[in-house]
Amino acid sequence: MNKKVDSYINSVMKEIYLKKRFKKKIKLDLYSHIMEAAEDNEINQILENMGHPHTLAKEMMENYSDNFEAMGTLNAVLYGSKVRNFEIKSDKMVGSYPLIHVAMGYDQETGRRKVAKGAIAIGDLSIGLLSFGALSAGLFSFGAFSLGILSIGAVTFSLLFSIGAVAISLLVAIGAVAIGGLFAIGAAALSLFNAIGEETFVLFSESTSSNGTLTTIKFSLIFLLVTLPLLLYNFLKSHFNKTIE
Amino acid sequence: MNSPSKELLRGTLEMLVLSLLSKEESYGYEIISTVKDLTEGIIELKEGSLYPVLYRLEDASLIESFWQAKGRGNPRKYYKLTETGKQKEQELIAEWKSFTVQINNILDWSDKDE
Repeated sequence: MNKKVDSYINSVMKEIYLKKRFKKKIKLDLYSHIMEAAEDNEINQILENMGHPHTLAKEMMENYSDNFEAMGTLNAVLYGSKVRNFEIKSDKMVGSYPLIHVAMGYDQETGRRKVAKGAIAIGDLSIGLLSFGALSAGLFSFGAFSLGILSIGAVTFSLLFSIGAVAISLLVAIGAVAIGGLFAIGAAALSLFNAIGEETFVLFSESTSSNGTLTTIKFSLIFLLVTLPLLLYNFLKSHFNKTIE
Repeated sequence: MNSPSKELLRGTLEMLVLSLLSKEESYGYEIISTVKDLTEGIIELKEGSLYPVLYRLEDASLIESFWQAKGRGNPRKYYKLTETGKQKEQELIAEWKSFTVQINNILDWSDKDE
């Protein structure tokens, strides 16, 4: 087979973010198309007429940009990361929300950043039962800034369990700076009851001395742990006000 | 004359492909060449648009594909209309004709006012 044709088709296929069976079909059809054209033209001319592989792949993908079935979650995330302004939802629904929603970039009509909202939400801003994003909120959230029941990320807030560089949780927090209601583990660990780390502060501890600064910290910690669930509830309620009551 | 915009072409591509295939079965390269010839190069279909449309039509059972070798050349993937496709083609053409009549009415009315 002509190396130029192979190279051209492979270059196109590198930019096709679809499931294997769709890619296989496209690859075979492109090959067949070039062979059909080769009966009338030189290969170089055919490839030139077909345009740059990037342009062909881009046009092909634009035709699949709303086809979740063909793309799948992983390809949707990869394609979205590449084009930066992209949104796709699975056909399957959980209540009134899509099972999977991937949203990245800005809404062209409103100019606002898109928010992924679904049972599984993935995007710059994501809200879902399972959410992944730069700013994510949900039952299980993963992201640079994440808020949830269980949160993992750089800066995390959670009701039950947080892991992050800065981790704050009503129950357990693990991180460089960990603030946990029940338990905190970290280089700097603050907790109501149990703290493990280089610098620890435990509110209800007999050994903890009491002075002005510590009293301030105590009240700040209590305030934070009391308001955290309210913040989370209000945040989720404002986005899912139809479902959370 | 300029080529029609991508959006305009995208909206009519399924009808065009169904219409071409209603005349005779054809393969990808031939469909592109026929459109180019019939429109004197003004409408130039690209592979990145044509094949997704062919796949959509095939998934909707409006066309079907089959491989066929002609002469000593490589086998070609031909597409032909199904019975459902023939009905759909008629519907789309009727819709298009009605649409263009209405659009022309608006344009004629606008011209008279000037």
